[in-house]
Amino acid sequence: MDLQVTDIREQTVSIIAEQLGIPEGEVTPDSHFRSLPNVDSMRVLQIILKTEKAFAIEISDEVTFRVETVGEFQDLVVELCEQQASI
Amino acid sequence: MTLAVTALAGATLAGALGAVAERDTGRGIRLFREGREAERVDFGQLHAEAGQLACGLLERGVAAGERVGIALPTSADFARAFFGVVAAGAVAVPVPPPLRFASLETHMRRVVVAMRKSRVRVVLSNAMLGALLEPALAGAGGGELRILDVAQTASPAAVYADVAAEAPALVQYTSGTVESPKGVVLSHANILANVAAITESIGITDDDVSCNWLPMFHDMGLIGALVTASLNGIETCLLPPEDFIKDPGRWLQTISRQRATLTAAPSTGYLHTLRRTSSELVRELDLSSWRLALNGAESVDPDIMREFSGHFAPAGFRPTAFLPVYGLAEGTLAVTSPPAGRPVQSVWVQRDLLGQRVVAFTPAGAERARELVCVGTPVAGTELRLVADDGTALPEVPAVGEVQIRGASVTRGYEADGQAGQRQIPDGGWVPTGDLGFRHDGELYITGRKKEMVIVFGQNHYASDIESAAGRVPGVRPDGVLAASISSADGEGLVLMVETRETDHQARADLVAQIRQAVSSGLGVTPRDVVLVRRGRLPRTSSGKLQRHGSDALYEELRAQYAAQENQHPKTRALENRALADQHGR
Repeated sequence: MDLQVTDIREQTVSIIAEQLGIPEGEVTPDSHFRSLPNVDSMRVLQIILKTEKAFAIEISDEVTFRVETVGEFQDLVVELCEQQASI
Repeated sequence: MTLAVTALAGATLAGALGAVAERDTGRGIRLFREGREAERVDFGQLHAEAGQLACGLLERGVAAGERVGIALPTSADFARAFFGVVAAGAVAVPVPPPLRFASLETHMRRVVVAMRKSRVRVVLSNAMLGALLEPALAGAGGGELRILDVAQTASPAAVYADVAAEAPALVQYTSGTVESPKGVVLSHANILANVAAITESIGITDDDVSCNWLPMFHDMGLIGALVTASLNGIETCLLPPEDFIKDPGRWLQTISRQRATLTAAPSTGYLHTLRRTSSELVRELDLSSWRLALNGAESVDPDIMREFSGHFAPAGFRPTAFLPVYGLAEGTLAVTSPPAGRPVQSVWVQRDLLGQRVVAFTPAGAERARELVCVGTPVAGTELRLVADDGTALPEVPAVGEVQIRGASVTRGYEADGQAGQRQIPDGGWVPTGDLGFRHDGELYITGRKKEMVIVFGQNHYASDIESAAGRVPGVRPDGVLAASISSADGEGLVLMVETRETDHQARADLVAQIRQAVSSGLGVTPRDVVLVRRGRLPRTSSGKLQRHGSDALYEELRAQYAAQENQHPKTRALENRALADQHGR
């Protein structure tokens, strides 16, 4: 399970880095999304969409207004994946 | 012209919707989410439900002329809320939605400033958004605001308040700064005059079907996509902006399937659609019904229109569908338009001379020349003049001046601080737009802006707001930030030039990240580039104020100069910077 969680976190970072066109090393859990290069509303929606597809999860609109950092987003994805697995 | 709009004189918005309802055509607002029709409300129902909501608002103590916030996504509820508020004789104040992946509190602080200015007590929302907004508003100092769920507010009986046509109906917060937002106050008469003008100008008939994704808190979305279409009683297809941004193909598929004829979007919206639609998808589309693609809300790029027309020609898109238009909230929405169906016209002028407000025509494609698109003549009931900086009206020859407007659709004033009234427009009703342009063969060409503003994706952002947000970041000299707008193939973009004493490589990288966050989270516009320069490097006037003229050229110069430096070994560069800083005694 632990390994899986690490995988989810890493893959989330890859998606963010790819959508923003920046090296993965620049995306750390404590990074605020709005401090990363190339972030705009269009790319944020792309990140959400790609993440939903990659993990077959649904991220509700509401929580996207509460997430501010990459780490918070990773936690959210892990939580949704775990919910998915337990169903 | 359609039936309803011909009889608008002296009417109110609810009255005009009532006239549409009486025709009982079964047409209405259709909301498409993720490619499927998710909601539908016909105009008869909408009119009835607006009256019921009006009754509910009046029962809760909302008074005539009172400002009521509307915080709702694109939905049937938004339409109910808008027409419900105006049916109650109150005034709708659309609230921009929060940003994703950003500080909700920062957003709310901005919203609260505008709500206070309009003395809003009640905000209409839905259950989901209301639960999100209520604590955030309280945290941002807006605890006095009461949030009502549209679905829970309607009464069984319908009421339509008797209001004067000249009474305010809408406050659009689209201009002004963060510290001092400017709410454009528009009356029922203003809005109905503009709806009639648009209807006549683009020749809307009962056969038209509109299909749009623009957000409802934006003038082009609210007035163009919702109000004009509804009051003409034509089939009104709406998509949430998020759906369009995620996949513009959904917009095209809806146009194709619903045989839509009318759309309105900014240039970058058409660009996004062009970039994200493969040739395979084009082959599956039938865009032959698309009669008019209005293009406005930001500068109109002729190349994008040509590329778009070429790319979608196999689906039956006609280049003459593109209609470059000019407008702004102060004029309700539409100010000028060319005749519908006429091929796009443009001229080429010398770029450098435009900065000096001189119009020098050149052959097409000449070096250092710029192609400008014709946005036509004023719509019915609106007058336009061009004014020099000293306020004198310019003669009818090509000379660049500020566009001023007046007429039936034009605002009589802005929301004033701390009182229920509104600030009046002096000078015979002429409202300055801040936009610069010239006339050629009697038609308008927009060349740029007098106001220091950056427009990204149809949204206006003031340079002074951006600069003060960046200037508050520790390590940045507060008056040492210059925001500029640069044009590229991606549309207009924001760049920041920032003076700092910081020389350490890591600290500089951190500083750039903090500046991005302050501007992006605070204002919703992300700088395309941030260039750190040493203190004193930005040009200033004799009084010490930053010189804004030519800032795009300055950016190119600084970018080239500092890019070379950033690529050096960090340690060497830091040492050099320190030496430079010492030399300058800073």
